[in-house]
Amino acid sequence: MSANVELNTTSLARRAPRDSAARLNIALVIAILGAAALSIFAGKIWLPWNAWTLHDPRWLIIAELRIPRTVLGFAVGAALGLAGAAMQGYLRNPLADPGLFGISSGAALGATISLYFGFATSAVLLPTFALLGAAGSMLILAVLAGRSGSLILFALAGMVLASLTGSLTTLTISLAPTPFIASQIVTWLLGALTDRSWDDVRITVPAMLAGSVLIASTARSLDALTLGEQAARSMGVDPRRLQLLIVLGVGLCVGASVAAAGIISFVGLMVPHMVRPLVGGKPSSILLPSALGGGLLLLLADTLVRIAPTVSELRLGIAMSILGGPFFLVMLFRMRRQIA
Amino acid sequence: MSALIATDLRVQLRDRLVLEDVTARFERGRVTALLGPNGAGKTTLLTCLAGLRVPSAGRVRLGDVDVLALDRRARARRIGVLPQNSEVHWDIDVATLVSLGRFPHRDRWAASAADERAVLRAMVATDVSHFATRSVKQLSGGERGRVLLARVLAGEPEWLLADEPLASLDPAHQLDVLDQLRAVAGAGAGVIVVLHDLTHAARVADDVVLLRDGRAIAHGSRDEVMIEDRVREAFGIDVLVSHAADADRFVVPLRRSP
Repeated sequence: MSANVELNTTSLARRAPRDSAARLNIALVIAILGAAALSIFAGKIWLPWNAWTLHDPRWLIIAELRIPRTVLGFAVGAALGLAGAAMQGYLRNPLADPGLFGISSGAALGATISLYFGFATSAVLLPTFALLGAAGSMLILAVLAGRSGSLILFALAGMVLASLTGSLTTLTISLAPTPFIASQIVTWLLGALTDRSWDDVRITVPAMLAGSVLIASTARSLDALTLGEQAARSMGVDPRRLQLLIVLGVGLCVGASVAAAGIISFVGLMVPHMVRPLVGGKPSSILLPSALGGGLLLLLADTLVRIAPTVSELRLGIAMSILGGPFFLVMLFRMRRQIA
Repeated sequence: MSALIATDLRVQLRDRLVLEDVTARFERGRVTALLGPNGAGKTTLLTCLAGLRVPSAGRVRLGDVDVLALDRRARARRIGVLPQNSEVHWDIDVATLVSLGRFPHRDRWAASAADERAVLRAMVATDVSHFATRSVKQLSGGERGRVLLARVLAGEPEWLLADEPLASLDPAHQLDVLDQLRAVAGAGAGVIVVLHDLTHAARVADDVVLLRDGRAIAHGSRDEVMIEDRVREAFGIDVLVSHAADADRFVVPLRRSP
């Protein structure tokens, strides 16, 4: 009798968070569909439903500009949200951000170099260079920290790499052959999704998908890591394999998102925090809602910058930072209160 | 019944010899206490036995196989480890934490009926099932210690290796944990536990390994090892060893030996 009662409470305990996660995911998918439609509607030229036919001349705007931009907006946000959730789970630190690894600044350096050489006109070269830059960062990270699987060495290596590639980017800007190129680089670094085409989608989205699959494969190991490195190892987690999967997964997601949209901060940091209270702290249950939430957030932000009454379009990266900065501060205030 | 056997274990960290030719045999169904002063190599020995550290020389066998030759997950299914100062990084509920113990058994996403049963049994055994839905962050130290033990038990290991499970528990909960260790051994698993408290060790252990400066200076049944001379040799203190009516032993530290 009492065993039955206990069985019920346990099942309840284990199903409740799972249900709320499922509900959140469904709600997010519905919101994403709405946001995607809005993102296709909205812009300098509004495209109401009656423009959505092949015979309408405005279809060209939809097919060649709005849809790829919408797809990229969702993909970049989802990749960043997922990478952020994976990073926080891996480093067991709620303040971890995918930018911490130096992978995004590596990708930015790659893109900067391609702009320096005047490759801006090619839709293929810039993202390719950005991905190469991200790959370079990942390689250095893996070589530096990979042998031990140690977390501290890894985080330190990432931070050093971030500041090194950051200063190399600044160096490239200061050496720019013409002021035009310098300003082009600076503008690009601010992050945006303007004038993206299907070429960008074709190059970057497969990389994000591959990264997401790698991150998804680490989900249960991240759960085990909740109990600390030693306990996770005793439970059969291979720290070196996990680290490799995380570096590759986060690297592909973040590198490709920088290649597609420049540096967009705070998505990877904020979104996992927004979903955690709703689905519980278990790292694996945060991954999917973080991806969906990141995609939704960026879709909405990108729509907002398009319809905002500014002379030239507000840069998406700036908009996200303006949204993200205060959020981060509020979070710190709350944490301070919790600790005190 | 496969024993856990350490042969000529040696662990060298840079120029420091942390373990020096330790040989010991552990039997299932018994509680073995690893005792010794700080820095004697107790935790190092425990991690070697768990297959989590590669010794510089020597080997650890589980029955006929080297623990290091076992597949990680297979090893994790057989040897459960409760680390010192166990950390819990995220705000998860008790049932979720305990079910993490099924990690080495699970290949698929969904938990099987066997998983659910093992989790339930572990929670009942450690008396944590009535707060299964509570957040781990809201637990007291004693509740938390029991939940962490339940996590290891949920994996149904043949061996339970615990590193100072009594640290930061009040006396009542210390006794609870000791009872649980005895119960685990009673159910047929081998228990190896690092302890600091000689009195508790004398009450819970069947066997004792006494370490000093990386060497096993005594290994045998509690009654052979926990005697005044041995303890003085290991810890440099004088103790009073007395017997109670029910064959319990009491070891009371008195003073540093001159």
